[in-house]
Amino acid sequence: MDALQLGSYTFSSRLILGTGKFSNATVMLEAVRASGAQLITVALRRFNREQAEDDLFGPLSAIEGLTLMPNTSGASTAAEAIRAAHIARELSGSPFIKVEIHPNPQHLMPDPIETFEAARVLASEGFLVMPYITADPVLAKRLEDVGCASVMPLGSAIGSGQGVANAAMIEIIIRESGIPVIVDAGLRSPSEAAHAMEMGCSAVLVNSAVAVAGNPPEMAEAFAEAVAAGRKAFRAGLMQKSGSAIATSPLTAFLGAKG
Amino acid sequence: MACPYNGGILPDMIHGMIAGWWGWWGRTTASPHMIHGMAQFDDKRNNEEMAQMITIELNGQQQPLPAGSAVNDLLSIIGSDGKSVAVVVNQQIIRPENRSTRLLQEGDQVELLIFAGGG
Amino acid sequence: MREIPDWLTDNRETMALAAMLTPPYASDSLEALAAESRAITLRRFGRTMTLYAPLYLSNYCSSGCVYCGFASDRKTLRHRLEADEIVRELTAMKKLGISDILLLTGERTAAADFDYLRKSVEIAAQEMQRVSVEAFPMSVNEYRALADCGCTGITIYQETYNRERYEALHRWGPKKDYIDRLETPARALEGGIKNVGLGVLFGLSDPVEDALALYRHLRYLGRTWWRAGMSLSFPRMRPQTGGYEPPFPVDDHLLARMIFAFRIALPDTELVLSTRESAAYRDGMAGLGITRMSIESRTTVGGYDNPENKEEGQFEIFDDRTAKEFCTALRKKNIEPVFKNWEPAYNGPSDGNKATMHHGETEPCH
Repeated sequence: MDALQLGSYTFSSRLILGTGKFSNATVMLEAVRASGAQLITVALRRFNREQAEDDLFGPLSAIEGLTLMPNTSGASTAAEAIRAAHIARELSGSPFIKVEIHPNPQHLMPDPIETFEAARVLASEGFLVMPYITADPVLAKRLEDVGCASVMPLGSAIGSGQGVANAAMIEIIIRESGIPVIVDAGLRSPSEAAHAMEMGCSAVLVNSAVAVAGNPPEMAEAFAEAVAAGRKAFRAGLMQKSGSAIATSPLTAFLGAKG
Repeated sequence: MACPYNGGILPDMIHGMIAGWWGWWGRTTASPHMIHGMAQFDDKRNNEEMAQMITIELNGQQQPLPAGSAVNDLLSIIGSDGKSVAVVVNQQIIRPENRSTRLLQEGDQVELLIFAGGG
Repeated sequence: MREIPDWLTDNRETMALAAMLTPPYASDSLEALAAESRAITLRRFGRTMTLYAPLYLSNYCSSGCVYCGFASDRKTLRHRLEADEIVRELTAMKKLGISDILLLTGERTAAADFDYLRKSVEIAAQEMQRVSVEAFPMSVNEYRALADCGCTGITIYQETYNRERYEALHRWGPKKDYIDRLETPARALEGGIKNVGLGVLFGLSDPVEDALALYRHLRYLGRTWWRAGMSLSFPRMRPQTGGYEPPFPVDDHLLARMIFAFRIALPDTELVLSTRESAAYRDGMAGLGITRMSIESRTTVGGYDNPENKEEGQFEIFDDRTAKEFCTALRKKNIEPVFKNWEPAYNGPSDGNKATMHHGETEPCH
């Protein structure tokens, strides 16, 4: 089986789903089911009795085969992210933590320095650290060196729907990485998810594109199919893109006739 | 404080939780449902104890509580089953097995956290 | 018997390379590959050729490699360069414009052991801008000591990745250990050596299988020691005294296809061609994919200070042009010869994967 291996966890689905921005929890849960996703992200929020329906723990526990990956969204420093991770692990029992530190609430770009520091500490504590980063090939290797379970470079800004805007950088990351590379953020359509998988990503994380679709469960299903297709194509060995133009005078004349 | 990432304006977002830890959010009055919860408190407590109230800070807001309450008692008051909630008291995580013995003191800063939607 | 590692046989990454190398060559004609290889080389490396020269320090050897002129059962006259001879050789090489050298020895022997090599590196590092070594497999600590003395590169060829063929060809001596040889470049990198050069000796085994394994080896090392420089060489068995007939000869066309395919598959990797190849071949390949070449080579011990030396070399040289002649040929092709591509100030072991900045560890600039 072509399974996704993260730490000691094995997943048959390479679509990771985010649970934010849905109109209501019922639709979100339907989308989770339709997507076949086995790893989903959740955020930490204060308990509020008046908004009891926000509490996803019960409803999510009812879906078989789900592993939770809490994120540290809201943290703007490594210390805050580490604290959030400890709390999240208590609640979920899951070793997964998406280290997500974006100090600017407008563009939501991740802070590489705080992210590296949080990742370093949490990895040493046994978390399966999934750091959210810009597509920086050197940062990706530094995170791999400190023991992250994967790297998650953004395709484009969260919710921007710009797709894989920095494919060239992500290609470098994929080529050089010894751990799974998961494109996270910015994917707008299933074809973009398929493209990311064709490039060699191990998985993709999708949230906004499903949550704000006209029909989220259907869109979730479409993404699942696209991710599977892209992965299959990658494994089947895609035809190489044709290269440069032929030179005007033959470059290989010096070789003479083939013996 | 708006957080576009989680899809809405949520004053009690994790920003507030963390801000609360670092103490720069002002105190506010207790909300009605807290007092209602209080009234449903265990009647076995005698009137003398009921008369001794303490005030803690719960999720950034003032919360009156009978003296001698444990974390589990607080959870009952506010209507949480405790199963899907993480409890942090003065920045220390209180595990379920310790919630009946961990007593709350005047001025304790308590955060109760759940999992909600996020990307 | 130790196991062959998974990364050596994992063929997922080598599908594209295999397509370019395996008949009926599903992809393009040789001319099309050449064009793409040339375009990539131009973009990444510009119109330059880095030049270096080999200096054989000693031809003592304890190994029994079937194909080598220096094997311990050959009648070759053995000697090693003493310190003063090394200095004279280096002086002669500098007069030719050389500033980047590769020091070579045979397998570890009492006459040419680690201490001898280390002292030689020390001497060379004082005279030359860049010093690399192609010698016997060493331990991590030995590599670190070499790096401390100014060695910035280690070249070590697996010769062939086919284990059966490897064990048959290396009849005795420490080189017989296939896995130890395979692990050597990793030890060098672990010891802080900043550049490694890998290669297979075409002719010994199935060339395409060896090429794919070579690719996998380089990629495996690059994923862990990602700060290191990597280069690949394409030595092809040539006639030599002793008369070993390579059972898998690689003709000019196939070697060219190899080089183009590697350039396409590894756009950023230095590709090296030695003076085993003819002048015409080297001139032809310059600019098409090769980015580093040896010049003025002697494969005898020393040989620069006393060019009249009639000793037998390790292999025969086919491009015996002077550095000046070769540079003229390069310039005719609009390629600039580069003699110095390194600054000795960067010598010393790499901090490698231990380089991590912790808050407060760096002094703020005022």
